[in-house]
Amino acid sequence: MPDLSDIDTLRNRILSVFLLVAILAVWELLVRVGGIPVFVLPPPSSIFSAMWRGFATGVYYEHIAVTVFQVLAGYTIGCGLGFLLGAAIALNRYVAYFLYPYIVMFLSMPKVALVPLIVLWFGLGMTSKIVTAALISFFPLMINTITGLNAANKDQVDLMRSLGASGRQIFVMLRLPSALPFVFAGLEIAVTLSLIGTVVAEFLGAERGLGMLMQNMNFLMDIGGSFSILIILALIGLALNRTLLFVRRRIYFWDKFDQSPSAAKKSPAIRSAEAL
Amino acid sequence: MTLRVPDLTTTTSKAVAEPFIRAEGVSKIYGSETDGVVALADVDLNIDQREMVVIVGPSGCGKSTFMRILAGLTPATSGALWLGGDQVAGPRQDVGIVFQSAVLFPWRTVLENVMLPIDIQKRGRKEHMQWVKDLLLLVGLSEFENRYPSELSGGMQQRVGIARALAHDPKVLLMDEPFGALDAMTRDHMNVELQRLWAASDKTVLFITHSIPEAVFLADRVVVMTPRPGRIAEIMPIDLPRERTLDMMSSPEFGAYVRRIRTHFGSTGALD
Repeated sequence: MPDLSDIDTLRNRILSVFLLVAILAVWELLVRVGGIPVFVLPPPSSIFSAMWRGFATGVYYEHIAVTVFQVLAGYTIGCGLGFLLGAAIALNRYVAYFLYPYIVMFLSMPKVALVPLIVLWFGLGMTSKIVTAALISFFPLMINTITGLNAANKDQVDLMRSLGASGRQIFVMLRLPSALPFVFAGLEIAVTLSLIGTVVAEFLGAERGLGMLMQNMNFLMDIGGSFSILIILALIGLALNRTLLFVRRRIYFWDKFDQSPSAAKKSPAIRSAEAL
Repeated sequence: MTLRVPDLTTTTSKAVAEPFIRAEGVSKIYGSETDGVVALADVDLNIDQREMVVIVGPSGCGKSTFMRILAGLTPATSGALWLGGDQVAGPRQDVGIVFQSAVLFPWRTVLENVMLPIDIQKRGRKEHMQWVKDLLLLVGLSEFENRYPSELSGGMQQRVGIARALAHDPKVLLMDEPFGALDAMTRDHMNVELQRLWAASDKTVLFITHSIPEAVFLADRVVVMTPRPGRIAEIMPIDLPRERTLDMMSSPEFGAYVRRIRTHFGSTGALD
């Protein structure tokens, strides 16, 4: 995103609110006057009323809680394991040698294609969603951890060695902090992917959750309801991303000083395409 | 102006004593012994304590390889090196290195970067806080101790690198083209600063460069190396008075040294 801070004035903020209102008004008008069927494109008013109904009756809260829990549990497990295996591969040549062929195979496999099997194996409960989210966030973390732990500058390693540093010291004082930009890039990809994975698994069979709810609404032609769920999902994704960004700024704080266009900064887009 | 007699002139009296750094027949072959690349062929070099020796030569003459062997980062293929009486067998704690780029850790402040050797060798931050602050004062960066490296200019970063190389009070300072990435004016300034620093300390300095004037300006002795295979072509004592000034670089004596060294590098004069 280009730097737009110079035109972020009060006037332009008000204008952008007007723009939103105008879009919604045109949308409403087109659907009502233009005769577009409600099950193709619901007017904004019906989306808002569905949203209102969902929250007023309390139905949405439970499903949001279930989905968010599954995303977070799967994300934490997947990222944790991805980091550990990535570190093992980066640190031990034998682990790398024996495991890498399988990893490459799994890497090129579209992970969503496994979701029907996962639902079959782990049932309609939360487990299958957590497994899906974990599996899908595992790979970006693992790959980026491997890359990151090998990203330390050779002179930096030599400098530490020349001072008599142990392998452990080089890992803790140099390789781990050098890996952080890559690890955070992986975490950012994984957080989006784990939400996608959870929702896809819920589509395929679930007792509770936003994906299941949306699937039901589609069957009942409640397209306004479906749209309201989409908005909630987008907001959950946004909240997760922002939280991660907040944590990132705390831990990888020297990012704002880092002027070099490192590989870590370019990789997320490429990697996320691969990971699906 | 303190006039410091180059150590070379005093070596006759010290000749009986063991030189501080002694390299004997040091060779380095990358790849196999039979068809590998000879980076360094049969280098003999003695360096006295508190001496400033500058190795000058084009890329591929093995000057960096020699430094890496001396630092214990790379083993020699054959030959042996002694430093302060012990044979160099691996990384050691009494050597400080300055690289071409400052090689600072971006997540450490200036002060913490200088603390790195203290941290690695577990000497205790508290006990060395004053010492490290003195070092920062010495390199003129006291006001910047809490800044992060990327907030500093290239010359300032390199000064942090030098302070760090001194932090564990090593006997030897190895400098591998430390000012090579700086602009010419900053570079001149850094050379003057380095001379001042060295004169005030008890360090032995091995400095590597491909700039002949820089070599003549700094050195007690210039070691001229030629490539393919990397070997010593000449060891030349520089008999210019200390403390040297930038003005001296335009003196006839200075020019004579520069011309003499340049003869080793062919008519094109191409260094890198």
